[in-house]
Amino acid sequence: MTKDTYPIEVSPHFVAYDFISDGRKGKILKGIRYTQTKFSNVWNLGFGDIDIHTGKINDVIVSDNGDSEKILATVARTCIEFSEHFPEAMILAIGSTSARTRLYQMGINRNFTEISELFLIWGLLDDSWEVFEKNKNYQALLVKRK
Amino acid sequence: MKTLEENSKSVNLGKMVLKTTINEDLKHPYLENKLQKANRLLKKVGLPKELVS
Repeated sequence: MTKDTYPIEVSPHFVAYDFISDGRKGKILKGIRYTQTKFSNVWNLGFGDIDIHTGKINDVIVSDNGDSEKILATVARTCIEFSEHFPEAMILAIGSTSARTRLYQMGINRNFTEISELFLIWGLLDDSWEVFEKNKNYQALLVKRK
Repeated sequence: MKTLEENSKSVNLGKMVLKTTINEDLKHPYLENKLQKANRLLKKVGLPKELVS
């Protein structure tokens, strides 16, 4: 990734990633968690703000910190890091809301050149997977390292 | 390993320092809910045909 990203902290088993968004509303702790689904090699991507008092990840809140591009590039970077350790993994991203799914999609759109060089990308449309195309509104996204 | 809460509290936002003991407890209720949602979706729609051998 050549885009500007935040420094990330990686857990020992490469399934949890934290970083700090630093924008117009201050510093916000963000968390990304990869959890294994019941389907072989399919991992779910969870992403949101970490409440520093409860530890809970809030994936609905819109922090509006003015740094979404850098945040999305950072999430993409964790996908690369994760897939280097789990090369057979398929990463599923379902937004908590359609707006959040669009945010993920925006992240792929904005970083498409870099991401498509490394990953195969599918989008879920009308409950059917298709090869990802920019500027379509998908229900969910799935990527796998080439 | 620290809990997510402990870990989160150990983050010094003022100094932009992240501790290296990120919690890997993936049994967090939030993640459980996300995982159930993912499992339901995958059960319903399966995987892209290119990935089904």
